[in-house]
Amino acid sequence: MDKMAKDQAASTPASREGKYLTFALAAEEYGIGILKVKEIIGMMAITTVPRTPEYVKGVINLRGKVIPVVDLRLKFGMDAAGYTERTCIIVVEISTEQQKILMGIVVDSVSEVLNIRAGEIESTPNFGSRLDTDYILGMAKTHNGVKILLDIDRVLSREELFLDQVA
Amino acid sequence: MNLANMKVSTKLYLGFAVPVTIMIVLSFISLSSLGKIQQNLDRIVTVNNVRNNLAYDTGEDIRDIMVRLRDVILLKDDGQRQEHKKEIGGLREKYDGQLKKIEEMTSKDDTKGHDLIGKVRTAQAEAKDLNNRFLELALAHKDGEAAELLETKAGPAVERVTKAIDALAEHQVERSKARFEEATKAYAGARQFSIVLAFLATILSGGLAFLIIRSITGPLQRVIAGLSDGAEQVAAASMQVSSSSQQLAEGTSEQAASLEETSSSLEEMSSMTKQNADNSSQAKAMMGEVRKIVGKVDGQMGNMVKAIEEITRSSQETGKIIKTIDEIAFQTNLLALNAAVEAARAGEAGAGFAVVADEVRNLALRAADAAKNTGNLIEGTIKAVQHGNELTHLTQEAFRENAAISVKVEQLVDEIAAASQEQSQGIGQVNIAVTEMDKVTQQTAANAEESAAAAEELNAQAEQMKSYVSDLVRVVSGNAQFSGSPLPQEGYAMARKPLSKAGHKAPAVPYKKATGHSAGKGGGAMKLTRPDQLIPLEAGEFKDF
Repeated sequence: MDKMAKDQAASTPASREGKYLTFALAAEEYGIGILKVKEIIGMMAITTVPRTPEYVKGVINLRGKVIPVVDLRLKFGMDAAGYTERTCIIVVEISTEQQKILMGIVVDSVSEVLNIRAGEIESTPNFGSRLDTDYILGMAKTHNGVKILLDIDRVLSREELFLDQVA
Repeated sequence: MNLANMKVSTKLYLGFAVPVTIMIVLSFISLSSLGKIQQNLDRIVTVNNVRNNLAYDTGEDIRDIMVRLRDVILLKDDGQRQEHKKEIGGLREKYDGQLKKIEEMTSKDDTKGHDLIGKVRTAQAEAKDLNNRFLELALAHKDGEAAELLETKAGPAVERVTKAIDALAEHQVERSKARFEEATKAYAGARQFSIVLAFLATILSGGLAFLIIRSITGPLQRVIAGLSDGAEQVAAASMQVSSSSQQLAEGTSEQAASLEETSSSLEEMSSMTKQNADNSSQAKAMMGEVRKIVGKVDGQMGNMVKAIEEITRSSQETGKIIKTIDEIAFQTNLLALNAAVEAARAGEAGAGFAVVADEVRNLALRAADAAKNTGNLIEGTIKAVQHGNELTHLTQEAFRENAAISVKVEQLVDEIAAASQEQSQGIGQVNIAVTEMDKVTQQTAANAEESAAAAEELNAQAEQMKSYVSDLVRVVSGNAQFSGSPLPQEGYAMARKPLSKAGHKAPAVPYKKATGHSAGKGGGAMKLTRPDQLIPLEAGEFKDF
């Protein structure tokens, strides 16, 4: 329902232009809109919460705020990786219908803030009907590779919201 | 009396003694017989015949007395009668003396003779008495009474005396006969005895002589034969000895030469061994130094390891610092990103801030880069240091192995040194032994020389012996026909036969001169003096040696 609106909102290349925070995950570079990014922090102690899905690592205490942390690798179905000194937690602000919630995603490393122009963004190719790629805003062609621009709202919103609702 | 076991002198004495004894016996017997005969003859002549004559003379005297007595009667002259009485007195003295002589000459055991003489004496005394009476009567010119007396008494008395004297004479004759028979017996006995003895002597002497001769000449012949053979064999043996002495001398000279070679090579060996020993002791010293050096190196290695460890540690600490710097850079990066995010959120107002944030990020990236580079460098350093450490360890190991090996080498060198020492001692001993061998060789050479000289002498003696034997032969057999004449050539020719079976060098070479082909070294005539010639040369060499 809202998905459609968001789809429409996100589908235009012009609207996808802007600054993206790029980060690496596994072997790929991804990007998140800078406005979605609240904060970037280095890896810190995560308090595990029981009865959470595997990709939900737990919660962290960020200056008094308790923020849930999700391992994006596991979210994407990749193998879990060990946390290095470059592993960071990106605190993103995802907006749902009701509210804006802060969430942390564990990424392998954070690269830079890129200003991506509309011309560099390509729409997501269609991999077939079964694959749902609406969480990908597009592919950014930069001088050092293709970065997958993520719609972080879509990435994190489904089951977490479900969880949230349950909680 | 085994003839064979007696001395020759004894035999000869015996051989002569028997006939001589027999002869002596014979002579003795003959002489005694002859003596007896002569004695008898003497007796007969000097005694019996004299007695006979005396008796005859006495008889004659008595007759003369008778005659005178008659004459006295017949004669008228007183002076003549007195003369006749004197004559009668003289005659009476004469026949008294004769009777006395007869009595003296009659041996004491001739009792009959004495008896007869006694009878004569008595008869004579009687007759004398009567005759004296007659004479008285006659002188007193009583011729008639005298004649009557004479006829009746004096005459028969005188006749009785005469008869007694005749009996005495007969007895004397008998005695002479007896003596003659004795002599004859003696002669016969002596003759028989002599014949028998002569026969016996002949047989005995002949037999004895035969036996003795046989017993002397038999062994003599054997001895001669034996001596002759022996002399030949001695000559042959002496030739063999001479040739073997020559061989010995040659062999000895060869031996001396090889001994010299041995000695010289021993000296070389000795000097080499000495060098070896020196070298090994030097090597040992060097090994000791090597060991010291290796020890030092080991120490240094240890130091180096420690230094490397320090380097590693400081590198690691530097690395940690770099890591800190990297973290700082990272955090700065994050800060920069956060700043960029805030700047982006701020929109227009944050554009400058975005630039600042960007610059900060650049700086952070640079710092990160530098830190990364430094980190890389440090890692590289650490790796290099690790490599160096490994190399150090390897080197240490290698040096340890080296040390172990050098210890072994040192041991080996020690052993070499000890072995060299022993070798040197052994060579010394071998040297001594070679010297002794040389002495012995010299002595052997001298002995060979002596042997050769002795052989020569032996040969000469054999020749001498042969000549003696031939002398003996001549004495025994009367001629010089015997094998083994004293000629040297023939002798050696004879002697050559047993030598033909001698050793490799055919010593069929005459000693004194080269007849025909001469075998042996150099083809030249082997002279007797060759060993002597050989040996002085060698002896000279020996002196040098």
